[in-house]
Amino acid sequence: MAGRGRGRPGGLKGVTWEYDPSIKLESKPIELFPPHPNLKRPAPLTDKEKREIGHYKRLQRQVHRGPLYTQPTKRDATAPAKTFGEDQFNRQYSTNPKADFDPFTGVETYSQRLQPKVNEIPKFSGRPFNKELFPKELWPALEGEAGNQVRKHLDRANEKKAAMMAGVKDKKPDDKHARVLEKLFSVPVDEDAEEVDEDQEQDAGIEVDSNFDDESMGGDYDAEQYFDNGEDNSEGEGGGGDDDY
Amino acid sequence: MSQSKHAVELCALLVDETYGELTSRIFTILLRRGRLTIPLLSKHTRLSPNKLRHGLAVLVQENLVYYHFDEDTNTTNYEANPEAAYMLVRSGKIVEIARSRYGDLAAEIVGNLFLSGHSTVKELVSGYIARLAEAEAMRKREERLANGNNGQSKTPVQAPAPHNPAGQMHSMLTELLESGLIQPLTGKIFLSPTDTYDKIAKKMLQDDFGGSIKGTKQKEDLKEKIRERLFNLRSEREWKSVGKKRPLNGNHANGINGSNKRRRLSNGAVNGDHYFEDDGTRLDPNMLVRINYEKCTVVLRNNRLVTLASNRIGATTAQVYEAGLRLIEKTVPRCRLDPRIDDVKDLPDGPVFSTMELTAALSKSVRTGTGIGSVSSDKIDTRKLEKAHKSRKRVDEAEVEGEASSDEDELMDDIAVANGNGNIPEIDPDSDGHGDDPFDDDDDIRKPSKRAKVTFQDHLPKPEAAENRENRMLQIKNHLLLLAGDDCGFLRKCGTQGLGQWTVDFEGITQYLQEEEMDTMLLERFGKVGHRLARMMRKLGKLDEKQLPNLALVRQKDVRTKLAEMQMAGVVDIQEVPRDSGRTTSRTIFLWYFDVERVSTILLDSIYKNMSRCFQRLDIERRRVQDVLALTERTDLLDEQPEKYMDTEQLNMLHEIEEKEESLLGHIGRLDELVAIFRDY
Repeated sequence: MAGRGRGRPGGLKGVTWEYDPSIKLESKPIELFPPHPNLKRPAPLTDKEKREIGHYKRLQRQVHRGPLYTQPTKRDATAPAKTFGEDQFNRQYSTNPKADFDPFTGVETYSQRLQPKVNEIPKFSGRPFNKELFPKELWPALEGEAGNQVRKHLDRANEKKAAMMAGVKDKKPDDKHARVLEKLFSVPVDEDAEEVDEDQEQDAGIEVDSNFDDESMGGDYDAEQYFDNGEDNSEGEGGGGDDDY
Repeated sequence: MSQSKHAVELCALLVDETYGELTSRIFTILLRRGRLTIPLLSKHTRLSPNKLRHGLAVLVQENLVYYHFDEDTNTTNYEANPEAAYMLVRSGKIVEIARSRYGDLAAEIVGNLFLSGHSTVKELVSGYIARLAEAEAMRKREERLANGNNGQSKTPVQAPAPHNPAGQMHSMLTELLESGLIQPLTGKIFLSPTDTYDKIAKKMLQDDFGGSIKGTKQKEDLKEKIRERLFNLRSEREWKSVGKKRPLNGNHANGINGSNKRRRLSNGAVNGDHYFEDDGTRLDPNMLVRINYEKCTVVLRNNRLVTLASNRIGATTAQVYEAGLRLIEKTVPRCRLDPRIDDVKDLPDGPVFSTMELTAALSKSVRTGTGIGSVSSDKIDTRKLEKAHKSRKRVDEAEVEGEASSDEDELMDDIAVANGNGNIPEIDPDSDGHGDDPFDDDDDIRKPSKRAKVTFQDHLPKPEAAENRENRMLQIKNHLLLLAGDDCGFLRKCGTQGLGQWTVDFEGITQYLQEEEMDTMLLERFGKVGHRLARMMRKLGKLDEKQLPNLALVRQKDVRTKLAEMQMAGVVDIQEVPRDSGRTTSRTIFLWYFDVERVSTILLDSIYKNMSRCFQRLDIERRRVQDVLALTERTDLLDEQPEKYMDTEQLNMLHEIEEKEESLLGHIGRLDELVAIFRDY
């Protein structure tokens, strides 16, 4: 029905069904990016446009350095942008950074100490928020209370355990028992608290790591050369860990 | 609001580009799936609830999602706000508006609001003071360094820090609030428009109608009441001008003080550097403010119209027009009325300004004497222009057009040629001379021989003092007449008070802009014939296939090929009208038509697609030179000049990527202009 109104009775103009020996089939694949038939250069940017672009870029830069920006976690940055369905869309992102750890590039090196920090979740600690404007269920995120819940939950579990142990070992409540309990309570169980503290820990951590590297490893164990056929080993001894110095 | 695939893609990319991946993933799902709760969001995004809460908090903070708490089920639903996401692309333009009008401080405030979404006055002020202190410390440090190097001989002269930064900030914020570029906000603003409507409808139904309504009359009644309530609600939210501290606009008691701009100048401020004095205004420190996108669009539209006037008529006339638009800008809160909130039935005649007001408001630096040549007065017939056009209905305009256009065109030709600035206006042969088309039959008057002889009257050497007020007012009036006489209908005369009152029919002029852009697109894609066919159909409505070749003066075969091509692209379509019940092809009339609305939707969608491709390309280009860009982002090199630490090759790469960024972003900005014309203005 749809084609009835095209007004082209008899097919395309000048095309018949008769055999034409002179016709040649074009078998070459067409060009992937054929030249545009009507490409024109855009007019040069005016001063006003340049200023606008400048403002835009400055704003973007400021947001990106700010606490609310979250860095991409795409596993494969070069994967095609087109996805089919939610599943495939979600699968291209890393869900658990520890599971997706890349042993070749993931280990922090000394030279990376100056790279900007990567935000996995936005940080709200640095600025005041007007909580009234947010729905109640988001308040824990703003206050950093998300960790408190976990802590409470674990505390309760510990209490239970303690009570149980107390029931079993009720007969000899001595110093040892108290010490064990203390240990149990003092175990750092708080995931989120860790995340918050990571900033402070990171710097210290790098220090420790690099020292460790320098002294005991010395580049002897280099994961990337693990499966090399031993030929480089002779020079590798000397040069393995030198990059870091 | 349903969104096309490409619009969703663009919004997701914009959020990703600005606020990062977590927010963008949540936002995309919200756009695609509609409103969702956190557990459902978690199911669709595979993100942990904790992450989701953080991401949603950012989105709420930046006004990118609405939320609605349902008391019955005790759940909170989140809904995406695609308009706000799209406005991210205009952030640069909006900051530029603030800068060009109110100076760098205003640009900083608006930029900060873009960063934080919304914030309190207190935060903005303290942030500004902290920044000033930092700058001061930096300056001192540099001074010390410089002194250390050069001995104590040199004392660098620098602008002293403003003595009262808080007061300055308050004045500037008040100024911005008055202009409407920023608006105060309350918690209710996070309820989506549909939810607000439903809530009020429910309440109204309970209170006024006892729970149920009968018949169409009551239904209409309820609708009207809801509309009024929504209207009041919106006006409550708007900023109420304090008004006492400064002379009111249009208060001519002191003769010259007509506008804020003049006032500022009389304060002894330099024009380029708006230095604000503390006039004692203090805002509530806990008041929340955010950017008012609707008003920003109004300002952008005015800028666009001024550009159009400058292209069609001349620079001086455009300046006069700009001043006029500024006068009525305050009373235009938004470009498009919302039929659910605004009363669209009996609209009052739009905002009005008079010639006298304009003369008072126009900056002295505008030389109104230039820009118009003169022609002996008996050659011009201005009767038609002087007559006040009371009607604003398009039907009436079309009636008048037939007879009026002849005189107006003549006048246009006369005046336009005599452009004293040497700016020969671009007379677009297509838009100006629709009489050239064979199907247009009112082409019997415009002949080049009728053009009056023109003498240039150069006002430039005349000293400013000699130009008296009366003269200036007359010249301004001439400019206004010129604007009113143009084909686009920049202005319409609607009264005689104050030497003539003028108003702007924004709808008409926006339509003109849309048609012009559409014509350009059609001409590019389908050539002369396709362009002609489309314009014919737009003007004459549905046309029989058999008539088309005669009207367009093109052979039947060519017409058919072209129309088929255009149908494939979705630009034109066909309607079959069978003449009898047999529905045979030979007894059927085929009517071709050109649906303007549909074409603009298609066009808009392809623009969205084009914009998202630009962003994707930008991303790829950046990834190619990731190493160099990572270098500039290093924490120790953030504020250094790249020339200091990069070698030549890296520098070249950096400049290359910066050039690419600029051209892509420039292209996006221009596409955004088109989107604004078709969607927002």
